[in-house]
Amino acid sequence: MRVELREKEARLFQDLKKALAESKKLAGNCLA
Amino acid sequence: MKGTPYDFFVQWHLTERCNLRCRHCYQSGRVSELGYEEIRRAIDNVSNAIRGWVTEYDMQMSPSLHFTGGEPLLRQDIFEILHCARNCGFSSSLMSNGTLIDGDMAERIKEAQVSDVQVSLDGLEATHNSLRGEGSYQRTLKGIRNLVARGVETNINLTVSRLNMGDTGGLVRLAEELGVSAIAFSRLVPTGRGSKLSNQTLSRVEVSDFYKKLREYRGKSRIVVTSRDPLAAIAEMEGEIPQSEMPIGGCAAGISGVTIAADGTIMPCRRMDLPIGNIGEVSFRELWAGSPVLWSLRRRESYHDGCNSCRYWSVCRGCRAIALAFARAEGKEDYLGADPQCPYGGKS
Repeated sequence: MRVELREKEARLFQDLKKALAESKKLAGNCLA
Repeated sequence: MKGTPYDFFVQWHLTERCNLRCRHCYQSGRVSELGYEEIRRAIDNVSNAIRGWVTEYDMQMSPSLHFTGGEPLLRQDIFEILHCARNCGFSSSLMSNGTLIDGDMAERIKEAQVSDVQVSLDGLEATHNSLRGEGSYQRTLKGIRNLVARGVETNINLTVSRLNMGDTGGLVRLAEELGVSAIAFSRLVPTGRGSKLSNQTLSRVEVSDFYKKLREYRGKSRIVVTSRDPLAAIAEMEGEIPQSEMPIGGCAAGISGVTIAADGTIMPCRRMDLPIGNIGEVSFRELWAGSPVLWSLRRRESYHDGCNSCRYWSVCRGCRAIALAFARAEGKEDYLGADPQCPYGGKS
C-alpha cells in the first residue's frame, strides 16, 4: 500500500477505535 | 483485551435475478453476475483487508456478509458461497423474499449455519400482493413458517411507504404469531423501479408519527420491533443530545459497511447507487482507506443543508440514499445534502 494511503488508513482506524471506546458501537446496519 | 468489536458488514447482492417484480424495488435492470470463483476471490479480498486491520491496528473484528439479490436462493451455488464465507471467518446471513423456502430449502439453510434470514414482507395480504405480486404473500408466509419450524433465526423487514404504513400494527401482531425474532422497518428509497413511487414516500410529519407509533408497538410487543433507519436513532434519543463528534450510530455508509453488487461493483450502500470500484479490480483494503466518497461520508464538514450543523450528526447523518434519490429527481448529483424526510433538523 502507498505511504499516503497507509497514513489515511492509520488515521481512520485511530478515529474508529476512539469512537468504539466511546460508544461501544459505530453505526447502524440498515440491511434492506 | 482489544476492546469493543468493530461490526463490519457487506451487503452482497449475488444476483439481480428474481422470481418477483416488486413495484418498489431499488433495482432497475439486470446486470451480469460474478461466478463462484470470482466470488471466492472477492471474499478473500475482503477477508485480507480485515486480517490487515486486525494485525496492524489491533482491532477486534466482528465481520459479516449478508447475501441477497434479486433473490439469492436462485443461485445454484448459494450454499457453496455460504460455506466459503464461513471458512473465511465471516458470520453470514440471507436476505430473501422467502417464496422459495420450502421444507427442504429451510433444512439446507439451517445446515448452512447462517446467523439469520431476513425475509421481506411489505404489508398484510392485499398490500403485500399489490406491491410484490398476486399470491406472493402466502408463499412468503410459508417460507417464514418453514424457517421458524426448523429453528432458523428469522426476522421480517418491511419497506415503509404510504402504501403500507397503515398495516404496521397488524404486521407486528402477525410477526408475533409467526414466531420470528424481530420486525424491522426501512424507509422506501425512490430509486430504481421504486423511483416511480416517490409520491408515496412519507412526509416529515408522517416519519415522526411513524417512529412514535413504532415505539408504542415496541413497548407492547414480545418481539423486537425496530427500525435501522438513521432517523429512528434520533427518535430513540428522547431529546438527549449526543456529545460525540465522531460517528457513533446512524448511517453505516463509509463507517461500518458497504454493498457489493452482482457484477462486483462496490457502493457505499445498495440504495445509494454510487459506484466506487469493483471488487474484482481493486484491493478492498485500499479502497476502504482511500475512497474520496467514503471519506466524504465520514466527515461532518462534507455535509450541507443542515445535516452538517445538526446536533444529532454523530448518531444519524440521515439516509444518504434518500438524499441522493431526491437530489437526482431534481437533476443534482448530491448525496451529502439534507435528508428530505428528516423531521428533526436539530441544529447545534
